[in-house]
Parts: sequence; structure tokens; C-alpha cells
Amino acid sequence: MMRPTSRTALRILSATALLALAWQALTSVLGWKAQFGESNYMANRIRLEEYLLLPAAPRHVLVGSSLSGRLLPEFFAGTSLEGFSTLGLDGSIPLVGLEALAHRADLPSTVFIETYLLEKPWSRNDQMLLDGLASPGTALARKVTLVRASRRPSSLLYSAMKARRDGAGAGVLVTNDPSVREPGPAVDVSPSDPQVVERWRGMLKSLADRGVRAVLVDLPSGEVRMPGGRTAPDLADAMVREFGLARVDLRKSWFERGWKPTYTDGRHLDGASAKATARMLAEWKPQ
Amino acid sequence: MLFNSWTFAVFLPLVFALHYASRRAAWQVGVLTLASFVFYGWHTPWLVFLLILSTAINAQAAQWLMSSGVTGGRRRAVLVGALAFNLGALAFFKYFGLLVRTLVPESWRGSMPGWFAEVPLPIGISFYTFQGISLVMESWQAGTAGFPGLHPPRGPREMMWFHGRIWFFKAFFPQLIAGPIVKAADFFHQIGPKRLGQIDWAGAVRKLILGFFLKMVVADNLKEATSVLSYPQFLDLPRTNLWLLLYGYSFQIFADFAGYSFIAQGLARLFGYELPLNFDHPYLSTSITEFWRRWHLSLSSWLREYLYIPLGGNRHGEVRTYLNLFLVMFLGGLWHGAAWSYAVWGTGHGLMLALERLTGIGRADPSKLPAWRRMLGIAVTFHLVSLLWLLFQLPDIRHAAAYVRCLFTNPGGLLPQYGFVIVLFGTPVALHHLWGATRAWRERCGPLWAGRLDVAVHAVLFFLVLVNAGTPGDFIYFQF
Repeated sequence: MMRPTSRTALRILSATALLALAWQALTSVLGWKAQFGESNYMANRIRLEEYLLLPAAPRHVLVGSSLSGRLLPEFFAGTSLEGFSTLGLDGSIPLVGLEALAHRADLPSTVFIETYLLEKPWSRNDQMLLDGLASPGTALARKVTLVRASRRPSSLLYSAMKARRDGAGAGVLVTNDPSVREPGPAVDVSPSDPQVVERWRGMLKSLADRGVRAVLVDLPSGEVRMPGGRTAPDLADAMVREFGLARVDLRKSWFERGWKPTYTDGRHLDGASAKATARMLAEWKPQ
Repeated sequence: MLFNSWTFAVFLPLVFALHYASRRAAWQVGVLTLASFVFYGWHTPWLVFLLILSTAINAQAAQWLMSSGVTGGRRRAVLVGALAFNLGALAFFKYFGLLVRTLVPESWRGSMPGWFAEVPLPIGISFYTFQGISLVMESWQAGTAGFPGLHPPRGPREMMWFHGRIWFFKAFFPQLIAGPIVKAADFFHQIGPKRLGQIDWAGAVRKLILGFFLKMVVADNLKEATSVLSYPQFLDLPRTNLWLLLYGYSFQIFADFAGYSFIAQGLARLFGYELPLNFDHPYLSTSITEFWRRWHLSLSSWLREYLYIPLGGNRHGEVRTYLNLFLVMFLGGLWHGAAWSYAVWGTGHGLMLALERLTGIGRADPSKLPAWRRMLGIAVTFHLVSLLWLLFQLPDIRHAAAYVRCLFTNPGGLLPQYGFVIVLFGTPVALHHLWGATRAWRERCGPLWAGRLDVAVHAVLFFLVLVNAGTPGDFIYFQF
């Protein structure tokens, strides 16, 4: 005869199992999948898990911060970069995205690396994100859809609300303004942290050894007109020279056309500008 | 080792199985004691030596204090020595750095070794030291008669069992790192052989689910949103966000600490032990006086028993009572950490307690207050408590003052992402308090409906633990 206290505990556990099964069925049948997370960590988990769950590595991947995160894969549909994947991680640096690539057995043929946070050192949050990828939780998420970040009820709710809010301004088009072609004052370049430089060297060498082409990309990050020259070569320039990399300056492409980018918060491109930026990147041809 | 880690998910079933592998109390106590030391030293093994030293000294002191061979001045010397050791260790690891930073000019500090100003804080030292003091005080008061569960040993066999139980009391892993602070007299009588069939499964499961839910779903999801409550990030935020952040941090700190305490209680029940309640819906308090009867109860109870009453409590006139209240809260504040902001936090609470005593607010029975007065009291108390929590996140008092100014002077508007997170994950804290406030109503619904509601609510909470946990991380109270 089971004791009442054991029976109650069993009822709680059984009801939980039923709820979990119902949620699993509901999200699978309705195809619910969060695109955005309500926090940087969750947004990044969603992107990283989705990337790791792809049946095969995409040919082209963009790694970077939240600036890159705006360039959604669907913006590349029908372009030369079809099958594009974005590992733009909120509040994180491109190196984390590159490290995450190693969590798959296969690699993309081209990696576009956002230059915006190239010089930013490794942070505790970056490490936490990578530790999370190596944890049993990620291994479990590969097998059990229920525990994936994209199936979290709060992220689904947030995604739905964000998509609705962003959708309200989706009709905005890129506007012309010839004055944006005028370059601004020269940008100061400060010496790079030797530890960061070393880490980049190691990473780029490892990519080259494994036959992955790396391309550096300058994305609009709040500029409203053509940026001025740099007072000295920056880290990206040094990498270009040392490893013979290509560098695509999409800011230049923007302002040379006389287009004025629009931002949601003064730094991140809005939907229309992000789509136009994606199209510009797709114009890039390997030499 | 963290309760919310994968390592612990392996550790717990292993220890559980080993514990119940034998019905002998000595085996069970041995398994739990050894497991507790493994738990404590998992990430930083050298910390175990400090715990061993503290335990060994307190155990020996307890033995001497209960021994008929140690009397008079020698007995008093043992008490003073043991208290000096406990308080000295706490003072060194927690406050030496603060004293150096406060008293030694910056130019001199450059020539000192680095650890002088930044002594590393051993995790959980505040908690296990307070338990050590409790053991010593109880042993002093009990003398050769002992107290329930701990009597002076006769012969080497009893001696081993005496020390074994003290080592277990000091190290028991569910409450080792962040409490609840267990008083010796409340624990030792529970030590004995435990049977699998005696486990209060429903009680343990409920506590574990609630604890993990508060920590992993509420606190861990609020954490990233409230991290902007730092200087100078908050200066440019709209005031609606600042108010939400203030509430969000209050909810987070409650969910984080109460979550830990509930997990500790649930784990202890799995092994047949009952730990004291640490949180009783504190944001339902109608006054600061009531708040301290609902928040971190084990600390309040410890401070009352081993500090307030020995200082004279309220037995030596009004002035002395106010002074005692003030002193206890000041020291209680400093117990939280080596920064003057904690002292200010404690002093703030002490002043409000004194004011409530002066005006009679603190003496009013909350259950007899009219509804409007209770609601008003809850709202005012919650805001006062939340404003003082700012000092935990903004240790520079000027920054905390700037935050309060910005609450009223910053422009309106709302950054929706932070708002979404705080409202969504703050709501369960409000509901938890509502659950506490509607206890009588639920009981009136009859046992069948109350039982069904209880199962449904806990199932939903557990489901959310599985699918909606936040960013993993430490517990806030680990730093204390």
C-alpha cells in the first residue's frame, strides 16, 4: 500500500510528464520555434543550437555580434550566398561564433567575420556561452526538442511579440541622400591588445589549415555618412596583410550609393536596411 | 558544487543510494559527512582544510564545555577561545581586506602583498561559522547535562560518535554553503537511523520543485535584465524601466535566496532531516518588523538568540533596547559582506525598526489590521525594502543615491525587452506571495480541491524548470 505522501509526489511527477508530452506535441504540430530570445544568452543559445542542429554545415556563415544577427538567413534567399547562416551573437564577439563552428564535425567553406568587435577581449559571458555548448544540456537538446532554447515558452512569447512589433515598421524602404557620400573625420586607431591579436592569429591559422576561407566584413554600426579613413592600420588590416584575407567594407558600399541606413536603436540596422546590407554582401565575389 | 549543476545531478542520486544502503546511523552519518566534504571542495579543494580546522576546533570545544573535568575559569577560557577563533576566522576572511582598504593609505598598499587588501572569501564561511558558534553556545549553556541529541561522551566509542555527529552537523551539504543557519539544539536530536519508507516524498518534492523553480526559472531569467542596474548604465534608462528594475532586483534576490533555501530543505528531507523555514512570504510584510520575521528567518533567529538577547534585548529600558536593535542590525548588515554599503543597509533597517517600535507600528498584530491598512503597509514596506536592496547592487552610496534621483527625474518611456523579462518573471514571485496570502481560502475549498490545485501548480512549476530555465549561474548569497 502506497503512503499518501508518496502518492502525492507521484501525482506531481506524472502530471509534469503529461504536461511535457503535451507541450512537445503542441510545438511539433504547430511548428512553434522561437527566433529571438528575451535575453542575450537565450538569443545566442537559440542561434547556436539551430546552427548545430542543421543536417549539414551551411556553405557560408557570418560570425559576429548582434550587428550581424540582423542579417537573417532568409535575406540571402535567391542570391549567390543561398544557404547562408548567421551566428551573430548578442553582446558577444566574433571569436565565440568561430569557436562554436568547431562543435560540428563539418565546416562551412566561407566564414564572414564581422570586424566591429574584432579587438574586444574574451569576456566571462563569452566563456559561459561556450561552456554551455559543451554541457550535457546541449547534448540533450540535440536529441530532445522539448529542452531546446527555441521551444522555451517565454522565448516563443517574446518572439511572437517582437515579430509583431518589428512587422509594424517592415514597410520602410531604404532612402536616398547624396550628402552621405561625404566622408567624416578620420577614425582613431589604438594599439591592439597582444593577447587578442594572438588569439586571432591562432584562430585564422586554424581556419586556413582546415581549408575554410575567411573574409572580414565591415557592417554599418550607427554611421550616418561615409566613415573617414583610419589614423593607422587596424587589427583587421593587419590580419588582411598577414593571412591574405579579403575585406568587404559594406559601410562604404552603402554610402557610395548615396543610401542612408536606418537603425532601430542608433546602432542596429532595421529590417529594410539589414536586408539591403545582406544583398550587398551577396554581391561579393571571391577573387 | 552548485545545486543547479550537472555534476550535482549525478552526485545526489549516488549519495542517496549510498546513504540508504545501510540502516545503521553511523554509516548514514559517515556517508553524508564524507559526501558533504566532497561537495564543498569540488571546485576549490583547499577550502576543505579550513572547514576541517573550524569543525575540529568547535568539536573539541564542545567536548570540553560538556566535560565534568573542565570547570570554572578553564571552562570560560574554552568558551572565549572558541568564540574568538570563530569570530577571528570570520573577521580575517571577511573584513581584513576592508580594514586594510579603509585604514591603510593607498600609497602604502602598493608595497603590500596583493592578498592583504583582497583576502579570498571562502564560500559559506559565514554560515558554517555561525553554526559553530551555535554549537559552542549551546554546549556552554547545557554543560555536563548535554542537550537533546548531544551528550558528553563516555568512553572512546561514544567519543567517536560524539565527534562524528558534530562533523556531520557542521558539514551537512544541503545547508553548508548558504544556510538555512541551523542551531545545534534544532539538529542533533534528529540524528539517527533513517529508513527509505519514512521519507516525506511529497514534502521533499514540493520544496525541491519550488526551490529550483525560483532559482532556475525566476532568478536566472531575471539576472541578465537586472544586470543593467549598475553605474553608469542606469543613468540613461527611462524611469519606467528604473522602477521595473528596482522591483525586478527585489524579486530576483528573493527568488535566488529563497530558492536555495527551499532546495536545501527539500534535499535534507530526502535524507530524513528537517531544516528550519528561512522565508515566509516576506513581501507580504506590513512593516519592517514583520519583514524580519519573514525574511532569512534563520539569521534573524540566530541574531536574536546569540546577539540581541545576550546584549540585554529589551530588558534594560527603552534606550538600551533601541541601541541593541540598532547594533544587531548594523552587525547583521556587516555579516553580509565587507563593504560599508552593507553596514548602511543594516543601519537603514535598524533605524526603521527603531522608528516602528517608537511609533507602535512594529507592535501591531498584522492579522488584526483593516484590509486597507494592510495593503498600504505591504506597499510601503516593499518599496522601503526594495530601495535598500539597491545597496547590494550599487555598493557606492553616491551611485545608489543617483539611482533614486533618476527614478523621479529621468524621462518616461519603456525599453520593452527589459520590461518583458521583469514583468514575466516577476509575476511568479507575486503569485507565490498570493499563494501564501490565500492559504485560508484554499483550505476552505476542501481537501480534494486543495490537493488537486497543489498537484497542478507543482506540476506546472516543474514543467517550467525543465523547459524554461534561465542563464545558469551562482547563487547571490554565495558571496556572503
